[in-house]
Order: sequence, then C-alpha cells, then structure tokens
Amino acid sequence: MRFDDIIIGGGLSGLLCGISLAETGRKCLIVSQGQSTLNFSSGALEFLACEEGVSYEQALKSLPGSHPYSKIGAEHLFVLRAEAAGLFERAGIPMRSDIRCNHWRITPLGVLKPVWMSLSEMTFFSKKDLPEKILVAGIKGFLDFNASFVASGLSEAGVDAKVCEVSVRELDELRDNASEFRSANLARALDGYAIDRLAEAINAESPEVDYILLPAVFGLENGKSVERMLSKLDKPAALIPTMAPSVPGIRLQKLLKKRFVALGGTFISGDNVISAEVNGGRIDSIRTERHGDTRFLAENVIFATGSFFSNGLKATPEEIFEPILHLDVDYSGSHGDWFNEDVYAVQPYLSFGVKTDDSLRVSLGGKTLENAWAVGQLLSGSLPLKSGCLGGVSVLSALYVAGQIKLAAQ
Amino acid sequence: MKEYDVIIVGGGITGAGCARDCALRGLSVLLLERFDLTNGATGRNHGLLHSGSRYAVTDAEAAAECIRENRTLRRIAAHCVEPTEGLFITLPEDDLAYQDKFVASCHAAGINAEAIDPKEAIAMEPAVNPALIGAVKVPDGAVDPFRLTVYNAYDARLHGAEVLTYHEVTAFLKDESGRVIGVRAHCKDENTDKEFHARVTVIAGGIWGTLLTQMAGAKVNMFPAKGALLIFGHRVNNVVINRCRKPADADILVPGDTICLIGTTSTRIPIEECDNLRVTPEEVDLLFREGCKLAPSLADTRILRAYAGVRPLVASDNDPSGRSISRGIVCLDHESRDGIPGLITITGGKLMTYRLMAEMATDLVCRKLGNSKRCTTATTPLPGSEGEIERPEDAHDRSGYKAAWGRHGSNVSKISSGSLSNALACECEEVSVGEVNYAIDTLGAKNIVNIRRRTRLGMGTCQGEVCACRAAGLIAQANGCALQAKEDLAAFLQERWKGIFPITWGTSVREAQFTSYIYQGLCGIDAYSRESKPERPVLKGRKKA
Repeated sequence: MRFDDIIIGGGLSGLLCGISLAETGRKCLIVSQGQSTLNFSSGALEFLACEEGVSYEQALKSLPGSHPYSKIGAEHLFVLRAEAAGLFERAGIPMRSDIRCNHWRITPLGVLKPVWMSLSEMTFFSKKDLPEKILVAGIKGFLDFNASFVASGLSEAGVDAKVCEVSVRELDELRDNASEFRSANLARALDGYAIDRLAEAINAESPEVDYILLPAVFGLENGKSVERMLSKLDKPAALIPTMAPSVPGIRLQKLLKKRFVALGGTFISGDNVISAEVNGGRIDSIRTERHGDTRFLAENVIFATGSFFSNGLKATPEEIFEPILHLDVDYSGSHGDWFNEDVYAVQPYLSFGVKTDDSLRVSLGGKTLENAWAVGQLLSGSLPLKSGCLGGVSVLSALYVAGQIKLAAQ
Repeated sequence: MKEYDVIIVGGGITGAGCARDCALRGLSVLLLERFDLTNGATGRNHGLLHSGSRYAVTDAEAAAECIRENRTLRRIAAHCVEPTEGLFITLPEDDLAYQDKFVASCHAAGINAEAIDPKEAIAMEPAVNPALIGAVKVPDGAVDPFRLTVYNAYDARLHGAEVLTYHEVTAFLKDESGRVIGVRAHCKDENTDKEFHARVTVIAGGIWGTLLTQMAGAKVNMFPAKGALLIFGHRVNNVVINRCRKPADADILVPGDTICLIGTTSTRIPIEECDNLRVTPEEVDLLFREGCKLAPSLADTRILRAYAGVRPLVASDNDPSGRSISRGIVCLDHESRDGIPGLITITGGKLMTYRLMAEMATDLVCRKLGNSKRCTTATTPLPGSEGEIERPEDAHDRSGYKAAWGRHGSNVSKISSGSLSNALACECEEVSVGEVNYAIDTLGAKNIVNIRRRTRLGMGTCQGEVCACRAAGLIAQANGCALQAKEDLAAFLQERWKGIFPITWGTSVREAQFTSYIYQGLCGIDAYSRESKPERPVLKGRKKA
C-alpha cells in the first residue's frame, strides 16, 4: 500500500501532523498502538513557562540550542502558533488561546499553571482577572476530583473559595459498584436531564459567588454535554481536569481522529510498527505487527511515537533505545546518571529523545535519513515539566514538520 | 505527673510486642516511636515466616526458637500469616551432599523437613528453576510484618497502653542516684518537647538502640548490617523458595500478597548511614541474577522496588574486642551490667522471635516491678485472629471485602460499608475507602505512608500513581486541612520514588514518567514539595463534622 506520508503514533502530535498534511490533499496513514498521553491531558496546551507579562519571544531566548523550539526558531514558532489555532477551529474544536503570552489554568490541586491554548470550557485566566468568589463543586463519592484541594490552592492565591458536594440519582447505581465511579463512566451517565438536575443542585449552592468550577466529567464524544452543563449554571463557570482518564483528552483525541479521517486519512489503531526498510538514506516502507507481510510505502515517514510512556523510547539498565529502527538517541552517562533521587529535581531521562537536525530529520548510525522525521515527545532536548513546554513541543513540532513536507511538495 | 510502669522506646515489632506483653500483664505502658510503627528493620525485610531451616546447620538454637515461634504465630497471628510452605532447592552448581546434612540438622532442631523428588517440587511450585537436582519441603510461610506490628500495638492499646508515634526520645531522665526515671521526647505532631516518667524504661530500638544506650550512659556495641531486597510486581511463586546451601546472598524468594521478594545481601555499614539507606546498582544486579536462579521467570518480571533494612548485630559482652557477634536474643539489665537502674535493652533476635524477645524483656520488667503475672502472649490470639477465621462467603464477595478480610481477619467487621465506603481507593490492592478510614480511625495512621503500611494502598503495581491522590483526599476529609494533605501527598510520592529510581528500566520508566506527567504536569504537586518537611504526621484524629 502506498501513501504520501506515514505517521507512526496517533497521539496529539501524530494526529495534528496528519491533519495538517491531509488538509492539503496528501494521502496519509497514521498507525497508532492505542494509548497516548491525551488520556491524562489537562485539556490545555502549554507553550513555555514564563510570567504573564513576559512575551514568548523573550522567554525563548533562555532555551538551549538543543531544545526543539531553538531548532524551529522563534519566527516559525509565532506563525505555527497561529496556524495551530486555525487547525483546531477547522476541526470543530473550540479553543481559547493567546499567541503572545501566557494565561493560567487551575490544576486539580488548585495550583495556577501557565497555558498557551485551552479547550474553551477549561479554566483560562489572566492572573489579574481571577474571580473574587469561587464555588468549587465536587461530586459525591468521586475520588478523582477533590474540591477542597482546588479551593485551598485558590485561597493561597487570594481567592475567596468555598466548596460543595452534589449528586443526582443517575449516579447512584454507578456509585454502588466499587470500581466504577470514575471520570469516563461519570461522563457516560451525565447527559440530558441528569445534567440539568446537577446544574440545579450546584445553582442552589452558588447564590453568593461569581464563578463556579467543577470537574471535567462531561462529553466523551463531543462538546454538547459541556455546553448544556455550562448553559444551565447561573454563574460563569469552567471545568477542572480530573485524575486520569481525562474526559476532555479522550474527546480531543476522538475529534482529531474524526477530522483526520474526514479529510481522507487512513487511521489504523491497535497496531504496532515493527520494522522499516531503509535504502540509500531513505525509509522506503514499514511493516506492522497485525498486517504481516503488507508493506506500507511512503514518501515521508514521521515518528510521532512519544517518549517512554508511549513506548517511543525504551530503557534497559545499559542503554536507551528507539525500538522500531534503533534511530540515534540523545542521552549520556549510565543508568545512575539518568535519574535523580529527588523526584522533584530535574530528571535527565525526561530530556532524552531521538537525535534530529534543525529540520527535525532523524538519523541512523550517524547519517541523517532524508525522508524521516521526529515530532512530539520523542524529540530530545526539552525538559517538558520544568520548562512547561509539553503540549507546545507536541503541537508545534508536528506542524513544523508538516509545513516542510508541504513546502517541498509544492 | 503521671508515672507509667514502663516506657518502651521503639515501635518496631520488638517494641510493639513488648508493649502488648506488658499491657497483657496489667502494667501501665507507654510506647514511644520516633517515626511510624515498623519504620526501621521491621518494615524492611523479607516478611518470611521462617521455619528455622535456614539456621539448622549453622545455629541449632536459633533454628529451634524459630520453629517454636513459627507454630505460635500461626496460632496467635493467623491473619498476618500465610502458610505457604517452603522449598530448599539444590541447583546443579550446588553441593547435593549438603542436603543430607541439612535435613538431619532440621530434624535435630524439631523442624519437619522432608526431602522430595525434584519433579514433585516442580509440581508443588511450577515457578521453581526446573534444573534443580534436589528439593526439601519445610514449613516456611509468609508473614506481614506491618500488620503483625500494628495489631500488637493495637492490642496493647486495647489493654490500656498508650502508643505515641512521631515522638523521638532525646534524653533519658535520671534521679540523683542515677536511676532512669523516664525520658524526654520531641513530639513531631506539635513540635514540642515532653517528659514522660516511668519506673522502668526498655530500649527496643533495633540498630538505633546503640545510640539510645549511649544517650543513657551505657555502651552496647552493635554493628549495622545492611540487607537489600527487590520486590517484583507479580506473585511469581506461591511457595517460599530457598537455596539449599550455607546461607548466602539473595537465596530466599518469598511470596507476599500480590508480589514476591528476593533477598538479601549483607553489608556492614556505618551507623550514620542507617537513616538513609541506598541500594547500589551492584546489589540490584546481584539480587536479580541470583533471584532468576531460584525462579527463572523473574527475568521477565517487572521489578517494583528496591529497598534495604538494617540488622542489628550485637557484640558479645564477654569479648572486649567487640568483634565477636552474639547470636540470638540479647536482653540486658543495665542495672547489673552498667550500674544504671531502671533501664533494660532488648535487641538481637529476629522478626520471627519478637514474641520471645518481648517475653524475656517483660519477664525482666516484671521482676523489677514485683509483678508475678505469667506471659500469655503465646496463647492469646491477636485481635483479628480470635476463634476460627473463615473465608468470607460469596455473598460478601464485594470488591475489597475479601482483600480486607485477608489483611485484618475478623476485624473486617469494624470496617464501615455502604456505597461510599466500599468504593475502591486503591485498585491494585483492592483497598476500599472504608479500609483507609479504618486505618486512620482505628489503627493510628497519621499520613499516607502510614495508611500504606496498614492497608497495602500504593504497594501494588501502580506504586501509588492512581491511589495516592485519593488517599490524600481522605486525609483532607479527616483532618479538615487540604494544604497538609497536599504536602503529605508530595512527601509520599518522594518516598515511593526512593525505592523506584534504582530499578527504573522497562515498564518502570513508563510508570515513572506517567506519575511525573500526572502529579507534576497535570496537578502541579511541586508547589507542595517541602525539602524541610520529610514524611511527618498530618493527622491528629478526625475532625468533628
């Protein structure tokens, strides 16, 4: 089978890269093993951690040359941030974003963290515009969202926050099963009139507040339940992500996949790429576990296989490697150097990834592969948690590579 | 000021056993522990219910003590014990002739050891190395040292004892005659110093006893011997597997609840290192390699954690060089030994012989106090093991109930039920919300680490990834302080990582990255990590609703 572009990995960066390429009519294949970090997404994308008044251009200057952003360059990044917003819009996914500087989201522990772009129902504040009086509504018996954690964090930030706990009878049956009261199941149970009554229960608790926060347990398939919930509340409101699984993350993945397929893309899920055939510095074809002898041929191959969590990288006591092709990997030292014994310190292993040139082409045995690229968390050189660039690297590296491929094709 | 009959310093199994024995004999008891119960060597070993076979060849006396206590614990602590049976296997590289000597020595010590055909051994334990050339069946088992200690302390409390964790003894109080009349302790709950008075003080501090006796003006030479272990994420074997050879490194594989453990090594370390033990890459490598020889499938099994404990090796009093190590239990009367009345040290020994150690120490306490009551701990079951404990019927087969029954025996009836309580907080180990609240309200848990020791929450394959936040939520509900609960959550994740980072490869890296993405990325837990505040108590009792 022949494609223009094959993307290995169906997480955020793989899907965005595929959509961007398919939007110009290219014939694309995504091979996904199934699990991606969208399963515990915050529903928001961060670009780079910096204070609110600081421009992204200024913050980028402090990054080392090995960071994917440094390879892409500030000018490109500016254009790509705008492009990302358009791409989500065309996919029918309402987002809020500011391409110049950070806004803030409220985490499940009530901490304010910087974000660049966010699903429209999630928190997205300017620090000076934080509501004064907030009600945080928890759901009775739901252990993966703790309203008091959110409220105590907000109090530390000077907000007058109070909590309430609500329920509706549609949830009682679910609650009786000891292991079923989880976010995705709540989202399945909460639709139609159940939402209306939940909103009524929250409204009864909210006469004196000016904002309401509640857990993101609405709308696995689309945004209709979210819209219904927010429209029934008496006060402005936003959602806070829960512990995994992330309902907004699952929805995001479904909507992006739907968009990709609608554009004519082929999406294979639950399959693994097991080998790639390299000839004259190019990848000719790949094979997958479930498709046996079928060769998938392509002009370009994009590795969007993620980091260790998604099995894009693997570790043994002796080495770090990329499991499909043993691409060149950037890491140094031995096992003792890869991990810091203080869990909150910089963890070197989080910056490991495959080696790329400035156009994000990968290399094998020291030689750059002309038509093979890496995007997303597989890239080396970022410390996604410390620098706050996790989602941004995924989205922007994907669009950067797609852009180069499209340009070369013109 | 209140004067207790006896203060016991140390909340390991020995201290908890002493507290129980003293309380059962009608003494007024105070137990002081600087961290949580089981924080020291008690919580950092194999959890092996020794049959004594391991010592049969080298130390007949210890072997005989072990098998007696083995039988006793099966009776009095049935809910903490799993009667798995054990195998001593001979591999092609070992000397098969040792097996005869081994069996004969076991019989001499009163241990029912039976040489069996290697094929029979494989049928009995399919995970055992099929290359074995000899096998001996022995009455080994598994024991949960956390529950054993917690229920000894709990029973002591039921009999009037006071148990204060997070109280660190900083000085011994003496009268003009030099008699120890109590201790000063730093209370970490309230950050204050308090004085407690008693007629007799017992040091049951394991290796830290050497520092405590020094503080009291006596000298007991002890040598810390570090023993490292690995926990595997699956219960590969259902029968304890030992090597039939002279005791050496990494030659015991013990199943325990949902996991199995390989250990140990033995390395002399300086006393200063005892509070911050590290497992080296060499130790991990040795344990892994030797473990795979006992059960080859370990090679493909995920290592969950690496950890280490310290055995207190006590120098013999009659050897001025301090080099000769005393075997077995050491019970010192500092009045006759050092001219310090009112002070006793109980040390040496093993997890297996804690009850005997407690009996010896309590006998001495009673002699000093003129109490003539006999020890009854060998026949009085611990709470949870009274009467016949029957497996729950299928009608009770709701998630978490059977697991809780396995952990708490008949105490399971004290765990509240109802849909909110039955909800699972920890899926790996099937710990319900009700069980977590029981650990807080009844078993004295003061933070998430304490809950883990009492329930196994966070001890399974996810190592707290999913359940830690839920447990923190239940703590916040109990004490009404979300900030403290969040700080405790940050400290708990730090504590879990300590055992994970030496073995992060394969699946463990995935899990580590997942945990970081969730807690640091999604939640922003970093905001609550406090270098200056390691694991500490955050619960002082349930806030009134």
